[in-house]
Amino acid sequence: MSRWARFFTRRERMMEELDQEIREHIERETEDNIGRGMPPDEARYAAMRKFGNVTQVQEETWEVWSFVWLEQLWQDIRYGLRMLAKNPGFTAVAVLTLALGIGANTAVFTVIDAALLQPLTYPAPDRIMWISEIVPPSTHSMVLSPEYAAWGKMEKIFDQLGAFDITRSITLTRGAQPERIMAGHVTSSFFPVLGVGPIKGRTFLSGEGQPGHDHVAVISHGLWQEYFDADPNVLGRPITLDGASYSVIGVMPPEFLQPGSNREAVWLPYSLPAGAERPSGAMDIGSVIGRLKPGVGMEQAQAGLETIARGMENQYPAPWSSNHGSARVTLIPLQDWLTQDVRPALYLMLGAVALVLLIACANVANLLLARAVSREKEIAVRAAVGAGRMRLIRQMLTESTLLAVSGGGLGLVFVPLITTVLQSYVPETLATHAHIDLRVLSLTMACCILAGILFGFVPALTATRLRLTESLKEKTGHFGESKTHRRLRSGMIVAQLGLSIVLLVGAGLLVRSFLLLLKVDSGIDPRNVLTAQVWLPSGNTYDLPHQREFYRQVLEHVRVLPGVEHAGATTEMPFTMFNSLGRGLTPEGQPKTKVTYCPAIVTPDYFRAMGIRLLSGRFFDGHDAAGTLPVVILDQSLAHALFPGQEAVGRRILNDVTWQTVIGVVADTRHLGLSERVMPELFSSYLQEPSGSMDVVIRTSSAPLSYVPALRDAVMAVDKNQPLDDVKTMEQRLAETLSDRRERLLLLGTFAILAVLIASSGVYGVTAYSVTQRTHEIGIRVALGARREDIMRMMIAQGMRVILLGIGLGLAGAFALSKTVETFLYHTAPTDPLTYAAVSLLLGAIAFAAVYVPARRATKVDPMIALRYE
Amino acid sequence: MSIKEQRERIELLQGTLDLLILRTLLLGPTHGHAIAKAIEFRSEDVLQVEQGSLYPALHRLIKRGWISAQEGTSENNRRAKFYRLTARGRRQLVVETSKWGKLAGAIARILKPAEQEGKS
Repeated sequence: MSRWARFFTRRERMMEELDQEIREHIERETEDNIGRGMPPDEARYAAMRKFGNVTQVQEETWEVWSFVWLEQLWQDIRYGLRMLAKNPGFTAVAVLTLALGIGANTAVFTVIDAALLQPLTYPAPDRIMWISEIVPPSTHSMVLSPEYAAWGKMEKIFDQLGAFDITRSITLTRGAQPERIMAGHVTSSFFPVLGVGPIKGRTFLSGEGQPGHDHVAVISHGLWQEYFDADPNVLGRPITLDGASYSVIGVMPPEFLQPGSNREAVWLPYSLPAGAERPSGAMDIGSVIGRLKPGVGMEQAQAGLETIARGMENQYPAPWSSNHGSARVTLIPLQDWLTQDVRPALYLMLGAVALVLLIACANVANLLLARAVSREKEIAVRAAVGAGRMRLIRQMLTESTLLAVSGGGLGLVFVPLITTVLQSYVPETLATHAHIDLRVLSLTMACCILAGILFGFVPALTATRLRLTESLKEKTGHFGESKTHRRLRSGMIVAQLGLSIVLLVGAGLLVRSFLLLLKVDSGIDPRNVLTAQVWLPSGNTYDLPHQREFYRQVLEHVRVLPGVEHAGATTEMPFTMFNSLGRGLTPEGQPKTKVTYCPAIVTPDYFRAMGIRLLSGRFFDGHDAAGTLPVVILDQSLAHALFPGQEAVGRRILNDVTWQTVIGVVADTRHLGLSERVMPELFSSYLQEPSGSMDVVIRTSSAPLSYVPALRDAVMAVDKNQPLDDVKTMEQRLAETLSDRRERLLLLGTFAILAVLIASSGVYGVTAYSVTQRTHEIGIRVALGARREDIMRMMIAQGMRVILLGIGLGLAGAFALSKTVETFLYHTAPTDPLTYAAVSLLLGAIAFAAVYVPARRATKVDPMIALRYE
Repeated sequence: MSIKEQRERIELLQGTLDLLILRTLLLGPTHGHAIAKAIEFRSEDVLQVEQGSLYPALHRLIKRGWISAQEGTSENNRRAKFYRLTARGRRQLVVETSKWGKLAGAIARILKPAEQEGKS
């Protein structure tokens, strides 16, 4: 038998015994009385009178042994459900409002939970650290090989230290159809740091990665299934990548994803070349991760890294020490590193939905306040028959919590919708497991209960502050509601409008940033431009002259296609991360400058195809070839940096060891995206500089995507092993640079609109309610000679006073919170007065309408009817 | 008499009644009727306990673990429930008694001047 059942049967038995005991008691008392000389009837009567109310004694004893609060709660719930069912209109509005608020919160929390709170899927993920080194003025981390080698000796701190390079796409040859897949480049210690082993075979050994031993590959579970048909004897089978044969040595488990995954299908070994551990052989090592030994804290590891950095400064003199003296080496948990880009936006969204929920609560509180007036009589009756105030408050809080829980339940319907949108800008590796689970549900539940108490408390308090006799005597027609009541309702409206303004200002600032950004000159003409990456195999099949010939032929084939206006190629596709960086150029007759620039290798027609404007001089042509005068084209910002205030065309610059003549200056392009600053670019002709793989760019006379098959055929006609990769129009690329901002804007905008809808329905409801309440009063005013305009003015003035107060407080709140959106803005001050003004006007107008419509109804009051109504 | 007033009176008596029950049981285990009689007798009939209210109080004390109940046979050979002070109840009696003493003393101090004023 369960504990509960035992408890209840024991209680049953005790009650039976009590009955027995009471009978005994009265029996004895009767006998005593008889002994004192009373007649038997009288003796029994006296005994019973002395004992008192038997039922009450039983009930009280019962209460001693019952969970009074639990049984009363059950009563309250049943009563509450009946009350909510009796007012379906009220219940529907309240539940829907709360559903929006709670649903939005649950959705945002679901994503935050998946992206930020759930640990990574690797074993003991909290010990995996990402180590960065930032050398000012750069803000990006770059770890050089000598440091990596030195850190590797910190055996007391790290179990393992590993590195991985940027994932690159690679050509997988399978029969006639080449295909691009993603290849990760990782050190032998990479997999042990993550703590994930292969399900078949092994991962890399420490020597693999050195030339001669590096043709081994670890493949993903997906590639094994699809390419090798899950062959159990896959180990040792060859796989052709970029024209070279690799041997499969291991298969990773299906759930394995590299940190910040790019859907790597294959991993290739990567190790430091000989001599790279010395400053003379220093090279960029990529991303470094390490697994801390158990019991080693982050501070200890950080201190160890710093000791090594300072030690290296002494060991290696200039130029190492001068370059690295200011370097900052830091270690942060891998998860923090992976989420650092999405965290601020997610927190912003969380703040926004919390505001929406608060507004929803204020709105429902107002509905409850209004209802409390009509329930006054019911409450008075309950109090008159003996319900204590605490009991009444508890009853009303139970009702409001019921509302909130129903709202939360309905709100779960909205969750998948919002989650899908939110997920799109969280890295795939982080949010794949975003779903509603027990944690999320319990948070929603907590949200509901908190909300229920939040919006139910004040109405419960005021409703139970009784004027008992008045309430019972009062007729249905009130002469206006009480002052406290009206003030409370106004307060709720002020809160709703104020919070809405905060959200609107946030959304407004994002809108303004976005509009400004759309006006930014990207430097290119993105209309009707198709781009595709055309890779060269990295094998020996293509030497330098062959590469030039390959691209010349491809472009020739493409140019003759009907509808193609210009065809060019570049090594540096706009709106993507640059492939290489140059530092330091010497303008003729001047000292060397420290300018950082992006060297791009292009074909002569590239500028026309991309729509980059020529400002002075000329573009490249076919005569700027190997063996002729080395020439370059500068963009405007580079021309300005090298030759400030002078004509650059015709001048010479020393690039490394070559003197190059500037033949043209072109407009700046926003290489890294519209919101980024311009990266100066130095263009060279592919006929004079080795280019490697390039992106083909064609300008077409009609919809560019319809040219994809023709472009593919043209490339395959030159080399059947070359697939097209990353096929996109320039308009798509441009849109991608804005997609994060657009989604943030859409979400925050949606939340703001939601807030305004709820708040304005609140204003409308309060005004309409107040008109109904005041029908009698208005009737008297009209009867005494007030004109319709006077009534109208009075209603609107009273409404607008509250609205203006709400807007004013909201503006102050938005101003105080303005710092939180700052990082998401572009050339817009977080206190931008125009936005604040526009938003106030907008909300003011909506709120005015919400007052005006019901106020008009007040002017239609017929004094005769209003007075007779009493 | 309304329900509400009755309840208030019981609540008023509650703490005191508990103390009286504990003190009565210090003399030895006994049944409900005898407890009521003992309180009346020992207070020289000044305190008229509404006898019914004794039972909820007894159950409260059982729940708190200050007294225990067991079946027994009474002086005239009738089966009855006997209540007995537990060790915890004994300790509690000391606490309650000293509390009561303080309360009574305090009330006496407040009332004293009124008595004197009444005399003069």
